[in-house]
Amino acid sequence: MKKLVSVIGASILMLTLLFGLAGCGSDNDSGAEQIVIWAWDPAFNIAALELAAEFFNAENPDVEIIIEEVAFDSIVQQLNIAFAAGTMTGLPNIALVEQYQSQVFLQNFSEHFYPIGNRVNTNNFAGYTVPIHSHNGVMYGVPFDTGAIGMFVRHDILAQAGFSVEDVYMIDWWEALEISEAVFEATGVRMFSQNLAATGGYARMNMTASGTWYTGADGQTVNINNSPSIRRAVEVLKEFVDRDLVMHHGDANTMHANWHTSQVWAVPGAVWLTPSVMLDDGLSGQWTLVPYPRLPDVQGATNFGNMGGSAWYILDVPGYEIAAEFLSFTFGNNLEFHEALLTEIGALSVFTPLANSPVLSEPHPFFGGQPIFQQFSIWANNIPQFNVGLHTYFGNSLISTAIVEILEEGRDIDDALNAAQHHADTQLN
Amino acid sequence: MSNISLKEPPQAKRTLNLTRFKRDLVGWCFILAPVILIGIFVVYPMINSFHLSLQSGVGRNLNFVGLDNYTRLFQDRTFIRALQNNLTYLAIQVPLMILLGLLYAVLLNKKDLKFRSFFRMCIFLPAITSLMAYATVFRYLFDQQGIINALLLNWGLIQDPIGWLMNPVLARVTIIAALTWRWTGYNMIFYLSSLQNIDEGIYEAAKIDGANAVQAFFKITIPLLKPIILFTSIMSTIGTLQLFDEVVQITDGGPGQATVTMTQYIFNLMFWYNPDFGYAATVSFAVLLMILTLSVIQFWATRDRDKPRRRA
Repeated sequence: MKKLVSVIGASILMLTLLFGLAGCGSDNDSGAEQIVIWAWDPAFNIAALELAAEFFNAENPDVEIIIEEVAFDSIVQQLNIAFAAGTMTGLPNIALVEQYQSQVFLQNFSEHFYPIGNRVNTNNFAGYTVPIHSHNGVMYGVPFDTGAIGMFVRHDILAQAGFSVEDVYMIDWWEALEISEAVFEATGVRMFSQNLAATGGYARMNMTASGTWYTGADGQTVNINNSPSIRRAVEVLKEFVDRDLVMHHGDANTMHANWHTSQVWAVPGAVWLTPSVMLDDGLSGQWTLVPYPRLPDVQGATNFGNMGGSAWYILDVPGYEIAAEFLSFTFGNNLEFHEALLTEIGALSVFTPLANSPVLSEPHPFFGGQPIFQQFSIWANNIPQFNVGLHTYFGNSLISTAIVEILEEGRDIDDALNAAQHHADTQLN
Repeated sequence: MSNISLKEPPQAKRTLNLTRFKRDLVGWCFILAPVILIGIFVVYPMINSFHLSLQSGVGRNLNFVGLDNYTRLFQDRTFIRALQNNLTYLAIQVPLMILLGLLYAVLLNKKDLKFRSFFRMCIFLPAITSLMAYATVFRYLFDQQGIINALLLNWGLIQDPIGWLMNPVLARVTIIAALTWRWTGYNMIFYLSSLQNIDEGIYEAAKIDGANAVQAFFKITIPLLKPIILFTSIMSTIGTLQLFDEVVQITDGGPGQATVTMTQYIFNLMFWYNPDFGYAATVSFAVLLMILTLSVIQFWATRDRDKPRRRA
């Protein structure tokens, strides 16, 4: 009998211990003056946060700002899990959210975010960013970096083939194709490096430059096979691959290797590639920045598009007032801070008052004295508005699949795009 | 018999039952804790996710849709692609790996082989490397400018570099190669340990009866290893149907969606696409159903047909 009692006792003890552990989550209601922020890149957005903390602590020394490095994928997952479970325990006060994810959060879970739009002036940010981070007319995220795109070109290689930088300034893709063929013939150098297995980025750059997206104006209806910009972008890529003018890369390392071993003469991409272009000091002075090639014969096509960019979101957890104050004091309204961001970290934000700042027009030594940030900043203000909607990653997979079918399996372009459209139609209704 | 029990006093029988009950109660207490814990952390979530799989919508705005998600599965090109991929990996990689593992095990079990433990270690080593690390290495090996292409070009076997990870078929070949490299040694260890339990005398007797090495392998080794082959093939089948890490790291499901697996698709549905928890749960149940079916088939196919004749 004694044994029995002790066994039952032990079982009960074990169970209570187990459930007790689950029950006693932290109840952080002390209202301590501290905020936790999640971001993912120590060289970029975390460095920006550290600078912001410095600015903020100079005025508010009693607020402790805890910056945690959480992988980009991990932030998305943890927020999704927490929102789905309906518990906010363990979430930070502020999280950095990529623009493609923002509408997914806002349309599904806007009640978990604090509407910062009431605290900062939305005119402070490049026009195209505001709708991306807004829901029902209220801005929730403070836009941070710009994803304005351009094209870095090697003027030395172009010169070998008898071309100047003016020849590739504000061109369209067919003109680029012609020049590429001539350059390849003269020098054996291909035009650009692209991961042909995942072409979502290429599609997004061309779509944004034409003011379109995977989805229509409502942000819901996927439009793949009737989109002139997608069709033209696919045609362009196929033509470049068919004529062997593209280097393929598997990941960022081989991409950088292709650039720095002079395998390609152009890097079409976003402003945040600048540090990577600058990785090889030996090529200093050889690179020049020109606008991105526009899609030929597409209505509304421009040379100014966007890829990526993120915003700071305040989560509805205790301490959101301090978090809002932190953001409005730094990223939201502070020109001096944004100037420091550019000079100290090389991060170009979408903060519009920066346009008139002398910092922006400073010549960049690596690019032969060209004020590249000023150019990116001007181009960012010319990016047509587009609605990112909910299905960016789904759209990426549709486009990548179609392009692989076209390039590797010889499928007809219309056929592949119709199949992608059909897939979207059956899956999203 | 019955009159003996009648002679027993009824009191004694009751005491017997009571002690038995007490003894059983102790046993029940022991398994109570695991039963409750499994109930809460395994059974309840399973039932709940089945309920979830009957709902659809974005985020937490879910509506009950009955079996709509299950019919959606059959129209879903990506799901069908993922299913085909899983079955391809399964049909090619698992037999290949098991045969290779058996071959290595038999070779490395030879008493007269020199540096036996060194070879064993070499073949087992891949199994203890980190999944992410080895997958990354494979991605670089099979890169357009990777060492595989460099070697093939150098030996004059190919004229232009092969886009291993760009071509849907070759990308699958790469994944299968990687999986085989990583898991063969792991399975070999199981075979090796059970080979060492086989009595040498059986082989000697077979030799005296005139059996050659091939006959000995098929008539003695394989039948005696049958339970362990069954075990490894079930484990490998489950592992392949749940394949995630390698594909994410080597190809990220690409080119396009050509190498995506069902688990990666579940992950994408949950976290990358507009989150549809209901449909993701449906795909999970499809995976579960397939693992169950395949395991039952494997048990049935390799069942011990001699069992009824066995003496107790």
